[in-house]
Amino acid sequence: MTPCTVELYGVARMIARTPEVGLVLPPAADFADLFAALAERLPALVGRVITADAGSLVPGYACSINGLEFVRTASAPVHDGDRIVLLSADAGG
Amino acid sequence: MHGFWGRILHVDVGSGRAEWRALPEERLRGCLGGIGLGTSLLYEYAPAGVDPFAAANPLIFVSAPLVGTPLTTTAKFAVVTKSPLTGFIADSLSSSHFALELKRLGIDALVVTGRAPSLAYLWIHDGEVEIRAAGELAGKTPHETEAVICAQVAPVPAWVASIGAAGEHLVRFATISNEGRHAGRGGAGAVMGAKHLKAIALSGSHETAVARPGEVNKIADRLRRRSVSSITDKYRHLGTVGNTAVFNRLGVLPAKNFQRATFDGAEALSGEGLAGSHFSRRHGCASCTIRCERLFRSLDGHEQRLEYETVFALGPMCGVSDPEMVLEAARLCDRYGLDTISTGGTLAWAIETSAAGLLPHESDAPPAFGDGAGLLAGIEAIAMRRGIGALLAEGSRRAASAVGGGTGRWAMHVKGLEMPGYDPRSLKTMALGLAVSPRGACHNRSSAYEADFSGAVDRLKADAARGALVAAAENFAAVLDSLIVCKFLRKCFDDFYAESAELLGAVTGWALSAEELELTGARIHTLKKLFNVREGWSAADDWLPERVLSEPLSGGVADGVALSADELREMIGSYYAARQWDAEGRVPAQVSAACADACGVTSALRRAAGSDRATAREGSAGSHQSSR
Repeated sequence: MTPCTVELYGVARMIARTPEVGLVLPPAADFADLFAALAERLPALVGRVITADAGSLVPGYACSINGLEFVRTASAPVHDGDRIVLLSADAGG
Repeated sequence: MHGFWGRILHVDVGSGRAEWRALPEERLRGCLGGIGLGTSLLYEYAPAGVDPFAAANPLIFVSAPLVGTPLTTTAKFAVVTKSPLTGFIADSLSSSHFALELKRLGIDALVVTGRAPSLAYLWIHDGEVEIRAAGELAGKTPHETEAVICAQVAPVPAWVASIGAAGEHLVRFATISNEGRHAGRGGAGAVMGAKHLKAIALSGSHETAVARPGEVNKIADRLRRRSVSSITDKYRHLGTVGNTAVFNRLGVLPAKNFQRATFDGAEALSGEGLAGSHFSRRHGCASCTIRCERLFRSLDGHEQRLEYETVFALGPMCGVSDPEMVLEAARLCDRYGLDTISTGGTLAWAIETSAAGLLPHESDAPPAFGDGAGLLAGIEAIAMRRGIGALLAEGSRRAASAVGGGTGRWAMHVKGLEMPGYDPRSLKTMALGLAVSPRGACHNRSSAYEADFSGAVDRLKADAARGALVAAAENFAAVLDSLIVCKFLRKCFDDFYAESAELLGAVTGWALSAEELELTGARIHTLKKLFNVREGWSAADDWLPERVLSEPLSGGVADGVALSADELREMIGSYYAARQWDAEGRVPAQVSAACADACGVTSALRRAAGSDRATAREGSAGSHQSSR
């Protein structure tokens, strides 16, 4: 199993009403697995932040692994203990 | 002509002379409107080497082809002048009803030169130009000034842009304010103050005509739908203050004068935190569907707009985490007409200089990071040029130069413009964007941080691929800022140049390709550079503050990350190469000539070149004489 934590920022946090959530993903999980698990745990995000099929993020949102590396594809792997930062894709301002 | 009026109004507020002048369509096609046209007019109207506070320095208000159309986020105008802070180009954008009224005057730009004998305001309404005495407006806030002038010109409806006390006192980072918004960076408000011009009031009646209204409406509908999609969620639901918490998490939030890129008090100043503790209401510019503005209410009942940059500069940058203090500091900056970024940056310099015992008049200065009351006192002192404020009103670069003692190492600026809230050590593409920007340390004229946040590059590592990325981002921004479209709409385009060419074609009737528009962006950027070169730019001006290059970050996810001078030098070299400039960043003569020709400033360029040759001859003669 792959335990990880999703930190929510911005609109995602406001919709979910929580700053973070812990998830346990299947072994060799990728971000598609993470989005599916997150959709199940926080269904309010579906259609707003996560696509209706729970396979990816809607335009305008992005993920960073441990605050360092930005995720470009849902097939990117999630590792044991990762902290996934879910944020707005647009840093303007 | 569609989309443009094909004429400008030049007012000399010293003599009172007003003159309308035609602008050829080819020139408008060469540099568009907004920042592009403003740069072209600046190059033409500003005498080479002009003192920014001289009567001859033009203060230029520029409209754009999309203003007045049904397109969302396009009620914007540019203010362009020679900056009293940097000595180079100052190009700012502001928005809302004043922008619409400028277009309704039936002009593409208003060029103001001269100096009124005493404080005055300019009242332009349907072909009439009046210069009215404004002695009773001295010291009034922009908000108060707008109210007084609107009452004076009633029943004619007017929209007003004005300066606060900071502009009157020639604070080098004073703003021009309209409807609570600011043409903020670079000190255009001080240039206006030097002209003894308190305000400009406009009332027009000309309606914008577009070439193909049906097509414009169709594109406008498409963009309007996208503008309220998830792409703009952050702006619509949180505003730009939504950056604070996540920037802290990513180690890019500058704190305590760039000593760190994380801040313990960030959550209290975050969009998420403020939404729960201080939110009052959401607001927006005229003709905007995104409505990114967030107004917050302080405990004493004042309602105040807050943007991320303001929160950064008056909060973490000065070590202040109390939202009440940041709200009040922002309110003071708005009332006095001060650029919040330069205010925070200059005060942060003062804090470090004071701590080292090197600041004169120490009793006036904020004694330490985190002292909110000291921050407020410092803002008042700057706006009034009182005590230590007279020094700080000059900006961090000049203040450090005056004080000496090595205090320049705490002056966080590029070309004299204080740094915005993006730490360059943990955003390497942004580092390059900040170093080479013609405006100085500017986050808006390239938005180079986009590449860093995209995942397409490693934001913590520098490499020679960044030059092309920054050049492309600058070209993109130059078009956006010249059409003018709000930056917060930029991700609503699937193919920006193709869609913008289609849009501009529908408005103007021009047959435009995406490639032509992209080249226009490059040309506009080059013209900014040519202006700076004429005003004395050298390669040494494209650089970052010493602290950024000598102190690695400590704390947060970017702990230990550094940016070396060699890394920056390599990136700058790659940028000059991407621009096809020489290794010293000089624009080849052929490129300069072609750019000047397309932007209608060939004779001004030739005058500058002639002046350079004369100077070179004088310099050569001088050198020869001294060798004897």
